[in-house]
Amino acid sequence: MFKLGIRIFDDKLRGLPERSSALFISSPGIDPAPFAISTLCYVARDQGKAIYVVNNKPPASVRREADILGFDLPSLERAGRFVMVDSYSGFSGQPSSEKFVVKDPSKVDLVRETIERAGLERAVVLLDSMSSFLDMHENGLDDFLRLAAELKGKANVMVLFSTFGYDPDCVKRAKAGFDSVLSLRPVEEGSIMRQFLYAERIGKDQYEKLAVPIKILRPGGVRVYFPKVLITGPHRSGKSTMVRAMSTTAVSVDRMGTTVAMDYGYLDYKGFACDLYGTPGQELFDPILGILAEEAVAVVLVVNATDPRTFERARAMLLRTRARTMPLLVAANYSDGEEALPPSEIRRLLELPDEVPVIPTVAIEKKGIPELLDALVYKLTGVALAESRKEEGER
Amino acid sequence: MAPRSKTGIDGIDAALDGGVRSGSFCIISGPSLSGRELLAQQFFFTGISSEEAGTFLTTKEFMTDVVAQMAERGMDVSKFPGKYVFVDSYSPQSDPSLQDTPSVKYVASVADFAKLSNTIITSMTDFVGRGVFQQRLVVDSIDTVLMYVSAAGVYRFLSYLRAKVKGLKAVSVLLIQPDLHEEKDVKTIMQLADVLIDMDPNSGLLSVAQTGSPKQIFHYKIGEKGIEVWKSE
Repeated sequence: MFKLGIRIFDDKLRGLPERSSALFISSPGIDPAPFAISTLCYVARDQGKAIYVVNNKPPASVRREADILGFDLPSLERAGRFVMVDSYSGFSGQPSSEKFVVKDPSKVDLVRETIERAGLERAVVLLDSMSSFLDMHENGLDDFLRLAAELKGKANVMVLFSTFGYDPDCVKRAKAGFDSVLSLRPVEEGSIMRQFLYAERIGKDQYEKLAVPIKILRPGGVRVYFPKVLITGPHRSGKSTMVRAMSTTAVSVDRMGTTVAMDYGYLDYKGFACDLYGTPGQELFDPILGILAEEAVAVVLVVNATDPRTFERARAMLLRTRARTMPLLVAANYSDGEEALPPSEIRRLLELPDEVPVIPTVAIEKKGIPELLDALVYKLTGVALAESRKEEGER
Repeated sequence: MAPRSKTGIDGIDAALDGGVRSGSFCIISGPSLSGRELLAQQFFFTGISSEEAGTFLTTKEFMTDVVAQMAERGMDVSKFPGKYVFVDSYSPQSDPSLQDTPSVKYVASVADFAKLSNTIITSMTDFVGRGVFQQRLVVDSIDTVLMYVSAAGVYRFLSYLRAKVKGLKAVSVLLIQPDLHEEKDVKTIMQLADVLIDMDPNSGLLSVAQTGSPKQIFHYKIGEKGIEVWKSE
């Protein structure tokens, strides 16, 4: 199996089968190239050799995008782990300084021979793109499917396909020509477009509900992305400190040391990314709690483990944010205090079911934060980072 | 009556009942030196100098040259920062290192429809996100794209773009030079037009046709400030 560098997919599916072909379908309006470049750089860095075959833009623009995404492509190319095959210059009539150039990209046998010269051992070959090939050569589907089929006997093959109004029969035939089918689709909310990666078929396994929200970070590459995690809790429970402790970067809107609007943090953690929104804790801000909670995908309730008098207020905040209807975690802060209650007692006093994790933390010292983040990712995705963290520690 | 976007040319606006209807896909056709580009630039500038925003795709000229040509005609886009974006798919051919700015986005190849459409639609949805709901798109021109990609491929791409533009209630203008292409290819593209403006420099006539309205014919000339039209006596 070879992995894509996308958490959840790699964790749950264990990657794509070896010596197989995978079709990456993208909806019009989505540019799949950054996704493909990220995946191929991940392959080149960690798994084997990556061959990028480009037929719709100059190879220089692929290198430029890789640079913007934060990948050190020159090093990978020097090491022979990332190879560019230029199938564009021959079509556009522009001169090429690439080592591997397809002189006539309309002839798929020439394309295949040039790719083979680049060396296919332990390689993942990405063809960018089938749609451009079909746009340039009407009725070219059979030729392209033959190319992918011939290559997959010798390497792993990934093909990009942007579905710009092709005949449904063409799309159906294209899908049938590959061992696996994944699709990048948008979900539009007003002017904001979110992207999801769906697994439709991996080998012989069909999937209906496996979708992962993704975001392309520049720099950073592909991340599994959750747009809103709410951090709430009573006044003086340490929410702002918690947002800062959990975040890669954070800002706070406060007055005299108390949050009066919200805290915001951005988290980039082990292939996952999310935006963290911290609420104010004082009751006078209760009218905005519901608004801040809108479209949240999870809630972290921060309580002062040494002060059970504030738990009634914490329960009220859970109601106002409708936290019990979504993935919920409790950060038992100040857990190093002499009078700190154990998690089981906090769970009992907050009347929480067993599946809600209560995690001891000392936010100001970042104690318990990795455990909290692992539990958050597990709640959101079902991916157990704690086990991989343990394995990494053991290594 | 549906909202209208003025072209900036009085006679044409009158022929279109006040301007191009919101959501329309407008094609301007004509041979070399007919003034198509100038008409499109006037249309673009009229939008950004009023309450609208604009996205301008250039496929066969440096965007800096387009901006300079417009300035020479008194259309100084720099007076309206934040109201326009140029999508330049020509300049990267000579300098692949060009970096995007807030008002200029570079696309390395017109054959890369995924990147091209993503860049255009991102620009237009960003304007909506900033509260600008009336906007216009200029595609100058589709000729270069037809050189690289089959007419069917271009048709598929434009069909998508047209639907998105209509969804955003924007107005778009696309330029084509018919004598560069096969007649059937031109007809394929023309099917998409809601408004068709044809310019013939030899006869000095400009025709405006719109779905559901009779074709109207004007005399035209290229004046100091741009295209001027008038009806025969």
